[in-house]
Amino acid sequence: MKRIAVVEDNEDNRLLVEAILSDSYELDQYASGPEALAGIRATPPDLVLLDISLPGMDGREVLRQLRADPATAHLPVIALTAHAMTGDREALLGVGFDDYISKPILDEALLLDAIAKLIG
Amino acid sequence: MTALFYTLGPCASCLPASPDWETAPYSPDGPRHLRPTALVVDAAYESQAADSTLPRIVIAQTSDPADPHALAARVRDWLIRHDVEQALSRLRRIGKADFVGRMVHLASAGIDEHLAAMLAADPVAARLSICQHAHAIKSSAGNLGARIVQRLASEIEQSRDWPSASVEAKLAQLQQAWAMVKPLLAAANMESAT
Repeated sequence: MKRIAVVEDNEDNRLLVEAILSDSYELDQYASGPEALAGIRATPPDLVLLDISLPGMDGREVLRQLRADPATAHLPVIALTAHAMTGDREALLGVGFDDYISKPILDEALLLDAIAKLIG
Repeated sequence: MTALFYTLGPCASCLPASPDWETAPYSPDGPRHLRPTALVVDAAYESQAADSTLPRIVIAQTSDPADPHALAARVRDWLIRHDVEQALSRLRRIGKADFVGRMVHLASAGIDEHLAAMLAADPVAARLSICQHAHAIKSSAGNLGARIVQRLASEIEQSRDWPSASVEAKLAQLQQAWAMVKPLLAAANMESAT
C-alpha cells in the first residue's frame, strides 16, 4: 500500500482526510511544518498532502524545503487550502505544487482522483 | 402551504419539499406572478461548493404577509438546518460508525476554542492572530455545513485593514451565528446516532 504524508494543523481536517484515504493508502499525519519535514525525511512517503496555512512555517516554505533537499525534491505534493481565491491554483502550481485541492473537501472523488493521477 | 421556495442554479435539486414549504426550480416567469412578500438573498449562501457555482436565491411567498421578517427568519433557519443535515449526511457516507460524532465533536470544540481566543484578543494588537483563528474556524465550519459561520469567519480572515469597531461587530455576528448553528449540529448528530 502506498504511503501519503498528510500535513494539516486542523484536527477535524486530518480526521476527514483519514476517513477518505485510509482504506487505500497508509497515512503519516503531521500537524506542523517542522514535524512534517523531519518525518518525511525519516520515512519518505509516495506523496504529500500539504496544507498551506500552517502556523509558524507555512505550506509554501515546507514545499520549498522539500524541493531543496535531493532526497525529497521529487515527491509529488498536493496543496490543500481553504483560501480558494481566484488565481490561487495558478499561484500554487507556479511555486511547484503538483496539484491543488480546495477545502472544505466537498467531493472526496476529486481528492482521490488527484492522488491517483500522481501515484496511481 | 405557507411558502414557496424558488431556487436558482444547481442547488435546485437539493431543496426537498417539507411540510411547511413547497419548492420549485427557478424560472424567469415564476416570481412575477407570485408577487412574493419576502425576498431573501443572503450572501451567506453564495455557493462555495465545487458542484455549484451560482448563489442560492430563495424567494418565499407567505399566505400571511404581515411579518416578512419572521418569514425571512424561518427561511434562514430552514437553510441552516438543511446545510448541516446535508453535510452530516455526506460525512456519514464517507466514514465508519463513530466518524460523524467524532467530526462534530472535534470541529465544534475547535470552533469554540478559536472563537474564545478571538473574543479575548485585542482587536488592534492581535489582528493577525484574530485572522488566523478565523481561518481555522472557516475550515471547520465548512466541514460541518455551517455556511453562515464559514462566511463570517472568511470575512474576518480578510479583516487585516479593517477598523477595530468593524472587526468587533463581525465577531459578535460570528458568535451569534455559531450559537445558532451549534445546537442544530448537536441535534442532527444525535438524530444520526439513533
